[in-house]
Amino acid sequence: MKAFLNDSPIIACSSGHQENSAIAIIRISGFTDLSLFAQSFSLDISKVKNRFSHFTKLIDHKSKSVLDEILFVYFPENSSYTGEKLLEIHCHGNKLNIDRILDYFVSSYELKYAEGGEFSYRAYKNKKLSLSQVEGLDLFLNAQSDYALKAGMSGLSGEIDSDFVKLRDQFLEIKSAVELNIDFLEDIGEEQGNELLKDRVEIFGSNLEKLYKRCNSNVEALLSPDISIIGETNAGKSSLFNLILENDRSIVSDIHGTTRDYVSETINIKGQNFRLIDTAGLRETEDFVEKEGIKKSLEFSKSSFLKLRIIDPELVSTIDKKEFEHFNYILISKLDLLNEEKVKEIESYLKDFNGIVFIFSSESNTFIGPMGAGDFGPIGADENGSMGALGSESELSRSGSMGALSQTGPIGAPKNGFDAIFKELLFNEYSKLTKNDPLVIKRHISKINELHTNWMKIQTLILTESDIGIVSSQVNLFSKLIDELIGVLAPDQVLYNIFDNFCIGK
Amino acid sequence: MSKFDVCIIGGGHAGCEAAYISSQYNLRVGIITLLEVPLASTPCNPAVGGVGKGQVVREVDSLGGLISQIADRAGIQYRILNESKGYAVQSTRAQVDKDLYAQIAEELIAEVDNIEVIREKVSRVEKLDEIFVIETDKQKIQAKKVIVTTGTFLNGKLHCGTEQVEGGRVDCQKSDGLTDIFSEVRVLTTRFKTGTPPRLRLSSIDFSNMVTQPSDERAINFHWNNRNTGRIAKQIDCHLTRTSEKTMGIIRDNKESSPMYNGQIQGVGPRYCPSIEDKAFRYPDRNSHHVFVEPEGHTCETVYPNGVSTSLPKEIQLDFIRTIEGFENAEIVIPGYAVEYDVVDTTQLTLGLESKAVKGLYFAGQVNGTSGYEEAAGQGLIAGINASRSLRNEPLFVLSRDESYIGVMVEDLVKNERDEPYRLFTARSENRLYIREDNVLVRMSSYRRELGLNTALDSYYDSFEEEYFLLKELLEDSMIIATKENKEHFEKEGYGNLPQNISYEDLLKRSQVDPVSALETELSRIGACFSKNVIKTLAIEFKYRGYIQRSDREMSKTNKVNNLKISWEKLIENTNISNECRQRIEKIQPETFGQLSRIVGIRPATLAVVAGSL
Repeated sequence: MKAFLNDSPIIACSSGHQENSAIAIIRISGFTDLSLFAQSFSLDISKVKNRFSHFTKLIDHKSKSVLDEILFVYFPENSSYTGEKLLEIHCHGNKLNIDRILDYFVSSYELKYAEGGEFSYRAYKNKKLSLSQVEGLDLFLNAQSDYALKAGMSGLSGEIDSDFVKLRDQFLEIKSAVELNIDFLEDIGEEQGNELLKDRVEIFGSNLEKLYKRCNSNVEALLSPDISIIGETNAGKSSLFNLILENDRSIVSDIHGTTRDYVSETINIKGQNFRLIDTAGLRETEDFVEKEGIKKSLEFSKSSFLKLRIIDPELVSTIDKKEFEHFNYILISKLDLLNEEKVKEIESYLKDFNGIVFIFSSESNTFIGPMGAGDFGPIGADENGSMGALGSESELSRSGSMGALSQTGPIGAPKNGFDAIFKELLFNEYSKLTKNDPLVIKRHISKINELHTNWMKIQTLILTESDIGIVSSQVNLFSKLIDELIGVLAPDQVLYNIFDNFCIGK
Repeated sequence: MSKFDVCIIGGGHAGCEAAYISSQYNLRVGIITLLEVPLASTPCNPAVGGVGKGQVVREVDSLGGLISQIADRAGIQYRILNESKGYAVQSTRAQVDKDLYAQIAEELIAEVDNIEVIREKVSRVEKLDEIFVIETDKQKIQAKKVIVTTGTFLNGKLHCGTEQVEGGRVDCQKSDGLTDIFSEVRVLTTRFKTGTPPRLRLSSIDFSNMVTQPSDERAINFHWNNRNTGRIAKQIDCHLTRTSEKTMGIIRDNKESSPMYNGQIQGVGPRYCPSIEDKAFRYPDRNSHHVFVEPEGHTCETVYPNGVSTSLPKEIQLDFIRTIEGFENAEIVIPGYAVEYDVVDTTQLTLGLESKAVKGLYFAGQVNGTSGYEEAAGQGLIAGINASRSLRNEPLFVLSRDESYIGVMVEDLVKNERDEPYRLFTARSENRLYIREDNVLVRMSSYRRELGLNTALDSYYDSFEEEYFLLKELLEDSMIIATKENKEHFEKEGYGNLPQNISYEDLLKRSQVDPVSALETELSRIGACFSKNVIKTLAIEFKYRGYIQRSDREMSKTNKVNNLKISWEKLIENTNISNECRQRIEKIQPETFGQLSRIVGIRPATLAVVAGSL
């Protein structure tokens, strides 16, 4: 574990100083009195008001030279981030300047450079943040997706904490019902005692079940949503890529796989980043037979939350139907070259596919679809309301695509092109992942899974074991697990894992 | 002027226990008690034992105490509580003959040569140098150690409807306030309240429609030398009836007459022993509450309707009593009343129940804010042992909370501030599967040996111990072989399958097996002869062993944390902990994380933080 061994005052640049910037923020925490620093500022330190900005010169008191002109904010311990006396210096963000100021303070006063996460550790230690708030902060600071930001904030704001505390309180109700059955059986009577216990078991169980469902999400996908496109050479992958990326001003990066096994592009849809992965290279470079290539591609893209199979219409009927099971979407390319009969033939071949099917053309940006037994499609969703999970309806209609769809119906030439509908679909799929407000912090998920597994056993025991001494001992053990979830019992390892992720200055 | 080594003020259950145990140290022991109150009287319900409490009675007994001896000689109806709930939580409870109980207490104390009972009223206690001077209405008494066991008499005030009388109970005068007697001792700012039901005339009650509860012949006597189940006093039945909608209606209609609900009583009563008014207003939907009809003795003309303690005016008491089945023509002999009294702040006591402010001054029993004769006796024993040991310059004697309910109680009292009367329940122990009635000898007897107390128990314990280890070895070393004969036997007894050889533990822990009768059967099959108590203790021990081990293992992480030392001085300087929490911490001065976590009102957040920085 990082050695946050003592409470001696720490200093760090909290705004990051990898590059020159206009303004940087340096924080000093844990000193005994602000007046210690009196000689370093031109203002009269005794007149400093708590939590007010003061403009002052920063002076090297040994050489009497002015280091910088700064803004200065002082937070006393009851209103600071760390729960200690904290001084924030807003200086100019030149890297040299920042280093010079840090060095000046470290050499003039007994300060040490903070370790990564040390400010937050102190906040945690001084009860400014709960464990799940710290975890939320960690998630927030390192977020790579919109949802991660949201989940991080719900941790940081204490929302998650209060869910967990509620769970704990409900379990205490079970515990007390067990105790009631032991110590006050005479007063309440056996029947009523059992009923009470049963009721409380039900309440707790259903709440745990809710939390448990929030754990069964594809965390990887939520934190960094990947979409793999798998298909034979010339099936139309590149054209599809180009169609989606063409004229797209929201392209944010252009990363090429280092192994040349895949090509990926990041696109931003409604503020959410997605990584499109073309696994094409695999088969071509390693000369696998068809089946092996698909297998390898699937293996490679197993953490992708969507797997799309793109197929040349001429090849559709040659592919083993079993293979389709691995995919969420089947996209048949080259719509322009197909007559109605051929379309019907393809539809019929794919009618058992349990996902969504499109037949499209990159060239004309047209499509037929979606078809298939998928549990969700843009049209169906409109009717059955599952679109609600995407956000408000009005938001969707503002984007225009809904209107377009309802006009054209499931099959037909869309006003909006395939690229638009395709993006909409991707976004919808992602939104579906976030429907249950899933938890993404790994420790929470594994603890809740552990709770859930153990609860299954305990639940049966509570309702069937006649020896209540045994019930009570198992119930007590279970309550330790809940304490661990909340962080009443936080083994060093847990703290280590969390604070190890933090950057310096936070 | 009388001079004592240990002088006890108050002759109730705590006082008698303290005197009895101190006398075993060959000291001069005095009990000063009020003239009109018999020793160890039972002003509340005439019963000893109960869930958790039965364990305490047996612990006191196994350490050489008195309450068990009196209870057995005055016991007129025994019950095994929680029998359907498994062995760990079973407890014994005995109805006692009230008059006989006090009479036996007087006799047993009188038999002890070095205890002198003085019936005078204490007006003042002063400590001069190392000696206490106790002033009574007649004389001055000197004592090296003083144990205060004044029960509800400190500044007591009785409430019965709007009538208020000063006194510790009906027909008794009150003692002066504790603050008048000891200026240095801190009293809790809230007063505690306790109440009793009206006593009814036996001949006015119709038992014909009530459920009869006869004395349980299988219940084992409290005192080990009163071998098992042979009863000393004649046994009698108790009865069970219920309140009705009418009963509760009357009480609800008279809310403004109830001193507890019209603001006349300010004291805090125990939540878990609620008055009938509490039941009426706290559970507005429930009208049917148990009423146990308990005889107060063979020669007593009164019964104790357990479950309807009240401080309503007499006329209303009679009204509601007569709505209860069987009480239609009941007459009230003594109306129910509530008493409010001062209690000392037990956080200012050591684990030996000695005042931190006044060395040599001990407190035990209801004055410490506990309820129950058993709790009082347990504390009297601990105070008596420690006062006596301190005279010999011997170290503090503390029972741990892992091995006894007395230990749980004393730590709870000393390490936690209370805002209501303290009653022992099994839930207060973290180690319930181990702290049982059946293994009390295993848990306590070695302490009695070391302390050299009540050597009359030695021979019983010797034979128990010898058999216990013999049988334990036998059970651990032998297997039940999966022969055809044994398989059939398992089938016949309903033990389940026997696919391969199993250990006795494997058999006894099966959920469909009653461990005690199974072990009795198995031992008689192999022709091994052991006494019933030994078989029972070991059968239950083997049943729970796996659970206890698992719980020990899982808890060891927690216990490691719990045993870690913390610095309360630092915590109270931490401005990030709420003022309220800091005040509690400063008062209790917890030394370990476990003690901190047991302080009432410390939130998980605080614990998480402290745990994180340990």
